[in-house]
Amino acid sequence: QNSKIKVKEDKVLTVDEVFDLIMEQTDYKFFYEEGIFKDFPKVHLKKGALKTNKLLNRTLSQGNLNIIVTDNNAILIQEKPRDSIIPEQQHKISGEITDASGQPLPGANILEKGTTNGTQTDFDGKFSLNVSNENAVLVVSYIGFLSQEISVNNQDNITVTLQEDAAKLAEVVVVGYGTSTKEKFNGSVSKVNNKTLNNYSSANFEQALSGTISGVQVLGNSKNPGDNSVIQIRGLSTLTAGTNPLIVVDGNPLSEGSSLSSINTNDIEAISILKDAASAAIYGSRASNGVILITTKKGSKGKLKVSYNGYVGFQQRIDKFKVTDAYDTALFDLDARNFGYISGGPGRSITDDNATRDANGGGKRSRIQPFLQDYINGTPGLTNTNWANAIFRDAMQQNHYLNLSGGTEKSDYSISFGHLDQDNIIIASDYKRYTNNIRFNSQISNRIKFGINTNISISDANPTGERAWSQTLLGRGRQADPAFTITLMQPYYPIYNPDGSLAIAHQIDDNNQNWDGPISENTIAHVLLSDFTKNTFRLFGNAFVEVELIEALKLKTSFGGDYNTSVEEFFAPSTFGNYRTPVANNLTQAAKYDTKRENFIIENLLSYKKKIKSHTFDVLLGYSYQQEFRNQTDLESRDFADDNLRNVSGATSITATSRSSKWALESFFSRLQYDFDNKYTLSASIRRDGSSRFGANTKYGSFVSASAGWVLSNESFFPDDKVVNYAKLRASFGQTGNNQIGDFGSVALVSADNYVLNGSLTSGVYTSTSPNADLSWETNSALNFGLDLGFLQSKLLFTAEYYISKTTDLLLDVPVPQQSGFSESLQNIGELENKGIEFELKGRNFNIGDLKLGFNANISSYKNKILALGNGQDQIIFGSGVDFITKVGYPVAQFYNYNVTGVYKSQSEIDNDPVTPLSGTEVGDYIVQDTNGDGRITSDDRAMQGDFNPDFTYGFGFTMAYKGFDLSAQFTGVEGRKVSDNIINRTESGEGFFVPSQYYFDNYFNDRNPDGFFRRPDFSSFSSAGRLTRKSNLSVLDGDYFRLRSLQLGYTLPNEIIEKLNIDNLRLYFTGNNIFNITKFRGYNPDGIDTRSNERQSLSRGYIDSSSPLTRFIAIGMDIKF
Amino acid sequence: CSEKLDLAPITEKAASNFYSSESEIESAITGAYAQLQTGGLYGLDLIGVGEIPGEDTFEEIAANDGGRFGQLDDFSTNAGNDLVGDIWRESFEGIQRVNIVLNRIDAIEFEDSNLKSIRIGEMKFLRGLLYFNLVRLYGDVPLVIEETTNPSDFFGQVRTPSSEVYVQIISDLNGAIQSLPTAKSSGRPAKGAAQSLLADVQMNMGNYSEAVTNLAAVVNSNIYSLMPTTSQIFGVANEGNSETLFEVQYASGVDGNSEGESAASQFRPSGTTANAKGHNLPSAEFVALYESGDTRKDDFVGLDVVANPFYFSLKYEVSATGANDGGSDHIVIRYADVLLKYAEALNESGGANAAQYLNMVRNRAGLANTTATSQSELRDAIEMERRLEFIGEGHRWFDLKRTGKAIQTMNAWFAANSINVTIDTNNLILPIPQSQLDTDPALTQNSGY
Repeated sequence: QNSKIKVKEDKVLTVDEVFDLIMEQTDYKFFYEEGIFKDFPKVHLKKGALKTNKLLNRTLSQGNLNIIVTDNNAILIQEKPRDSIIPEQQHKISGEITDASGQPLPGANILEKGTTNGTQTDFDGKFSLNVSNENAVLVVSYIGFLSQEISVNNQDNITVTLQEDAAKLAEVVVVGYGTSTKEKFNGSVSKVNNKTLNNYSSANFEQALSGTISGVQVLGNSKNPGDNSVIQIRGLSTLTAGTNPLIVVDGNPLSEGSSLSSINTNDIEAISILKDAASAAIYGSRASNGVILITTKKGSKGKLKVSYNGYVGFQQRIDKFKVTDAYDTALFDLDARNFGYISGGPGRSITDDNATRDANGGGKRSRIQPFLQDYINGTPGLTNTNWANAIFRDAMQQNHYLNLSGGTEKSDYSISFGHLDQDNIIIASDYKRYTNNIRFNSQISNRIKFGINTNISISDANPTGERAWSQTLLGRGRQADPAFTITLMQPYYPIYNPDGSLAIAHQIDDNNQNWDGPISENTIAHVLLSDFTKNTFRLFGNAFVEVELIEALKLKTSFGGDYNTSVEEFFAPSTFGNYRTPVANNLTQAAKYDTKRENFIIENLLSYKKKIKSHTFDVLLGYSYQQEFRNQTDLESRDFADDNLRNVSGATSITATSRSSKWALESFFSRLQYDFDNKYTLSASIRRDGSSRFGANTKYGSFVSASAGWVLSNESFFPDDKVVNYAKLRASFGQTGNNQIGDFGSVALVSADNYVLNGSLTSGVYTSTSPNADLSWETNSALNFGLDLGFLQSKLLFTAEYYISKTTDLLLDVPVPQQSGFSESLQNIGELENKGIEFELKGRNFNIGDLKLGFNANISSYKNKILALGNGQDQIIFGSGVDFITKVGYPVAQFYNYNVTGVYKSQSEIDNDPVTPLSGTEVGDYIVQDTNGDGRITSDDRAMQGDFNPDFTYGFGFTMAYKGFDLSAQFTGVEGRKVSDNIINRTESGEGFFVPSQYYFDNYFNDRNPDGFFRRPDFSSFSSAGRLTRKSNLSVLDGDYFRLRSLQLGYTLPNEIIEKLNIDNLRLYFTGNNIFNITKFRGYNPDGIDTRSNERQSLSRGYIDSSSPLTRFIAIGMDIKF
Repeated sequence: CSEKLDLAPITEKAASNFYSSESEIESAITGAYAQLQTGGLYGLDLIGVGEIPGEDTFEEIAANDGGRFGQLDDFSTNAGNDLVGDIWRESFEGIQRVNIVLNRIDAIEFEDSNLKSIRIGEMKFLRGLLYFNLVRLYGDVPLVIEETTNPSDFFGQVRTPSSEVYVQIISDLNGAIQSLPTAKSSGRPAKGAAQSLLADVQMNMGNYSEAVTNLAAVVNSNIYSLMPTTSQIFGVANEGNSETLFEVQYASGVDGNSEGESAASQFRPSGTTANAKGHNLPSAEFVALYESGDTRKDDFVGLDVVANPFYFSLKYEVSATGANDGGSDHIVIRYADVLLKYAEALNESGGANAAQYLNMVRNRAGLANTTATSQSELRDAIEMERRLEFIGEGHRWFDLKRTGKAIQTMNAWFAANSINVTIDTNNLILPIPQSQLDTDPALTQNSGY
């Protein structure tokens, strides 16, 4: 109540008129019985300004009134009971009001209950007040926090900790180009505050969102700390365009797919997620995957505050993936080599010795390694290398964060420094990040405000290889991926020689010469002897000036930029072998990749806000222009005289390639919001976008939205039953676009394909992509209906949403008949639909004595359906490890493979099968279900086997505080999701080149296990039918899980102790991520879909090509404030 | 303000303002040749698919590379085989590169209008070659001879009967013969190459007398000749010699090792060199067919005695620059092939002198004249000579198909080796790639698959 009321001239007002004056100039609302002030004297006001508080006191000093300030800036005024007498003030109490993290709250209200006696806290959150007696009750309130009643109980000094109320309806949420409150906003927005984010400890903020918000899935687990995850909001709304949501940091829209780890989670004050199209429509052609708005921390008025947060802990793998040890592998190898041999030709017997096998043309894969017998006999003490244990480790992770903030009446500042040091759970891989965030705002005159905001991040990493077991190729991401290569490392071979040196080429040479088993080099040697580094520097930020042209009309101009460079270097010395390349032939290789991105944005916003009686108008007009330039230079070489220089400089010749690209986006937008009496809100917006990415004929497009909300509980007819205190119905419609199609997708490109003509390299070209001058964004149109209910003074909040969204003009990069000369073509054809429901429940401030309890729960479900594809096309079959079908009337990317019903255990079973099996079916091959019943197995018998879209996702959690202790936990789960995993498929194929998974070993058909349901292994003559059934329902796995996603237990030291230490607050805590994980999934991580580039992977959504184990993280940490 | 949004690609060229000058068309022509280098074409697959199904070469490890070549060996090839898909795709990509040039070249002014005509001839030669491979491998295939404007227009296109495709091939090759020069320049076909290829097409259609005419023209042009010894034909040092009519050119250590071929590594027994895969190895049974004194035994076939008793072709040189970067050109049409085809065509069409051309090849290999005299003896002698001469060059299976002996020969060979495989006419062509049937159900699968 300390905002000032301006009085333009001397005047005399009635009490009612004073209230009108205050309501006009502030957000306060007054509720009182009509006529209550009719006997009150008029108030004489002089020209000038005075504090609302003073004005109220003067106006009401005559009455015997109770004045209660409620949470949402409403002030209730009631007459006191006749018999109440104001007692003499006789007890002095002083104290401090802080938030949960110990931050003082300046300007908080303290009111003696049942009186008008009150005060406010000063800049340091301190107050003192004379109360009527030592048993008085204080009512403490502060905007954005839950009010609290405190009994004085004879104390002289009280520290009150107010609980932040994220669920509060009046709470400010950041929306596109502005802020709003839940009460006034009609779209679907979810807010996550700093505290929730920091319950999960990760380099990337998006991981912390998992399970906390309905309708939002966080997918992917990257190989390397700091890699992005996939954030999917309300189902997949595109087939082949990018699926990245738009991320806006303090007004700066970032490039799609740009690194999210350059934003320190500690620097984030809050995240708003705009889920419905109407809320996102103001971002036009970039918003159809949803919009994530990030606000970084700013300083608040007061002296310098210093806070430190740090934790140190370790990560460990908790996945279930396991390959066999040497003794089991030997049994498997024997079977694979024997069955391969005998099925490869007539007259062969498993008793044949190697010489006979050679003579019969069995080849190296039919030979039996002589050492297998010792393993099969169970001879103890044989080499039995556990490669997984050697590659994975318990890895340290620590994070330190220091923030300095403060402000004066006119300006505020916040400066932070962050350092994260995270070892990868894969050896010799780590990630170090340094961040700095500076935010400064100043009111430089009555009408002019400016602010500047910069974010610097530097990272220094030794990444692990991302994929590729075929290590003959050179290039980015081509370093062996140890999480994968362990399946190629036979446990018969050692990691180290007896003298402690790395055992080079034991397996590769032996297999190369004799057995043709996995011809891979010691993967530990690969990792330890090669270098792979990635260094990035990023600076982004913006500066703005806001001028109040005339009262309530503001012009804000801002300029933002994003500069990002990264250098990756790779070096492999000649001292180890590569796939199928023994040591003697090996070559030194080096590569360097230099990437730069420069992005800038200019934005002008004109806003006008006017309140006339009960009508509030809020108008926005905007223009923005954003441009990005990217360049990448690749240097690669294999020509080295020696290994002395461990980078491309040591090469005798270098191949260089350079690629650049550019895009530009120009936009005009406008929004009108109208609010009547806090009961009815209407909003409409339009944005017109022009994008360089689109075809000449379709450069510009318009995106509109409209929404309406009705707060039923503000209606007089709404029953005041104290159970339901708040109710709002809202509906919205909006359109958004997706322009993530690559910069020159509309242009037919001519690419280089050179040729050696007459002995000299000659420049050659070809048309690599087909043209499409009509190429445009895809349009997502969505309806959203919401219901918000508040119970028990909004202690319990319930939200339900239903949406139906339709994407038209789908950007389809689909397979086309190859006689066209192209394998795929990018077109705007097709339609898909997502329908979903979401429920959220939040409970706050359920207190039982000193025990404070809060909880949250959410559940969401959606149905995804293809409505149309291209001309005359009703399905797209797409192979990627396993096959997928995207068919009209069904969800995107259904698994589409043979259904296996068993294993043929004898030739007579094959011969007597009424169904003609696949040609080349042998004993030990799969029995395939004749799904179309035509009596023979053909490719038409492939069947739909579910998809990656879950039936539902859910999350729930609680927070508890008791005296100094606090405890929070968040659980999350997914039900009804199917996945397929490359590493599982390889190790369960029975093909012999991979060490089998324990699960395959325990369940394959053989003499020891005649009931085994997996096919018989076969190393050398894998049948044609075996090839075709490599992809089957057995490759489609249950990807459900239930996790304790985060857990935190903290203890805040009591005041007596911290005062002695001369600090403001000290909290110690224990924190953990993924404390437990319940899943049937046998691989590393059922969330582990590809995160490196998620474009064009919608048609094979759910295929895990390369992932890394799910990890548990446990740490101890400390928060200190000075 | 919309100029800001009209951005042109920076490091790639836009097709709309490309192909507008002689030099740009020349680059597009070079690009069409470059397509022949790919793994699905003469980089690896076409050689393997032309030979492994026959009896002379085999796949060391049937299961290797997903059974890519192993399935050819025992005729268990299925529609999901990657080789089946790669040859199809890369052939049509090459045809499209040719179609673009042929569609655009008319409007381009060349400094030397004769050169323009020659380039048109070269492109027609390439299109004829690519379609000839396709019909021989897959039977009926969709025929496309225009530049693609919208790839979606091709949905619903059915396979063109191979007889119609042959009409186009012959028309293209006749066009090439008319505009190509007599003199050969390295890496480009001259008139003789087009005549030889046309003769091959005609022989496949049973039209021996026309083949004789075309082959006689090549022989009598006196442009080409056999190298004096069999050791001088192959090898990087001998490239572009007088025996070569048309070759796909490769070089190792060039342009980031992107110009090399893979056969040198992958057609070696496993474990012998980097990325050796044991594809397309000549069998011991085959090598035993060389008479004593035949220089080709040592010049064409090597034996790895260190790790495996396996033979391999010496026609591709292993490069020092690593796996899959061999520098040997792949000779598509060789004068020895012309001579033996000439002998065959003469013999089949009842002409005289067949033995004369057969003997030229025999004599060069250090062998005496053939003793065969009757038509059928000569037929067998020519067939045997072709096996001995072209081992590792990807001819045997096509020869068996051309002469109509494939089914009989292979079934006899399987029986003799107690291999439980029998083939029929269905096995003479490959399946249509499953990915293409999945893309457009208008394509139908070959029978037996």
